[in-house]
Amino acid sequence: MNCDQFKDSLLTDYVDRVLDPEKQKIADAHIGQCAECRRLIADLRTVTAETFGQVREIEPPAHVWAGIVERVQPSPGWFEKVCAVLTLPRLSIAIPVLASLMLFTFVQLRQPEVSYDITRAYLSRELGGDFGVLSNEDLENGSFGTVIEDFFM
Amino acid sequence: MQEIATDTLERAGDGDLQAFNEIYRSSAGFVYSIALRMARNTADAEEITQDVFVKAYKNLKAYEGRSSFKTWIYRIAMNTAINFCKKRSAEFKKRELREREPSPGVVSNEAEKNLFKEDAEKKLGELLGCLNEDQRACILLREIEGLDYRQIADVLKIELNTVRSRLKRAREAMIAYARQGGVKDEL
Ligand SMILES: [Zn+2]
Repeated sequence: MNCDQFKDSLLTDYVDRVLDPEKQKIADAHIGQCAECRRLIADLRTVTAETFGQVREIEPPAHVWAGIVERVQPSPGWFEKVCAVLTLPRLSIAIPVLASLMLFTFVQLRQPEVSYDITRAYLSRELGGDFGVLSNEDLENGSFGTVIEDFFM
Repeated sequence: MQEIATDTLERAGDGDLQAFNEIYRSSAGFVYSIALRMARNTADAEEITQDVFVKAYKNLKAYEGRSSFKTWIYRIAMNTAINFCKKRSAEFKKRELREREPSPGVVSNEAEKNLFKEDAEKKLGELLGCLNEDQRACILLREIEGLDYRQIADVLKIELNTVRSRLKRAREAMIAYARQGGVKDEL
């Protein structure tokens, strides 16, 4: 076996010590009588040891995990976004207060001059039937039974 | 990297982020180191690491313990890193043609200089710089991870003889570089 044949077919396995016994014998025979290949193997072992022998595992910086979490968590839909806005500390107080105020003002402005009993009597007469209890027709129509209740509900 | 408990893998597969964090903590060092040595700069290594874990998270259900978790994550890490680096190299080559910039094979930017300021990492970076992505992947799995030829073939899904020839070429390139005096005090 000459140098080129050794380098091409046996050197890699020889360096990794995975040659079968038969090929190992052939390799040993060549190395025993070839100073150039002996030097090559020695150099390879030195380069490998020097290059890979001292390296260690390196941990990634903390923001890498944060980036992964950001990418694997489902992005919030419009409902979650609205909820997130509503739960902001200031808004969570301001919105119900504002809404109640608006509703109160609105109810005050729409309040009729006539008393409830008069309204009831008037509406009973106009619409017919017992005002205040939903009729079958109302249920089928999905209405709340009265003009006023329909309006506010 | 230690093997991960089946229960942890199942919980993570069901979307349990805490379980997935356990997996991350046990394998992030390995994945990041591979990415760093393949890409040879920290910004790309961080991007590769994130890509690897996002892929792993999305595919945990499909994994179902068909191979060892270690082999599975090695495969995702290596393939992601190789593809990323090949894409980067192609971009650099295109730009180099236009602007005549130095190629990424040469340690050139500040991030890389920083990364390889330690002696051991510097030597490693210089030697890896003279290999192509496929050779680099094989030699890293062999010399740092200690995988045998069969395991390397399994991770990279290539033939056993391809592993052998890539290792051979990688070592030839490394020895040529070292003998030229590329790595000081080496030989
Ligand atoms: Zn010889």
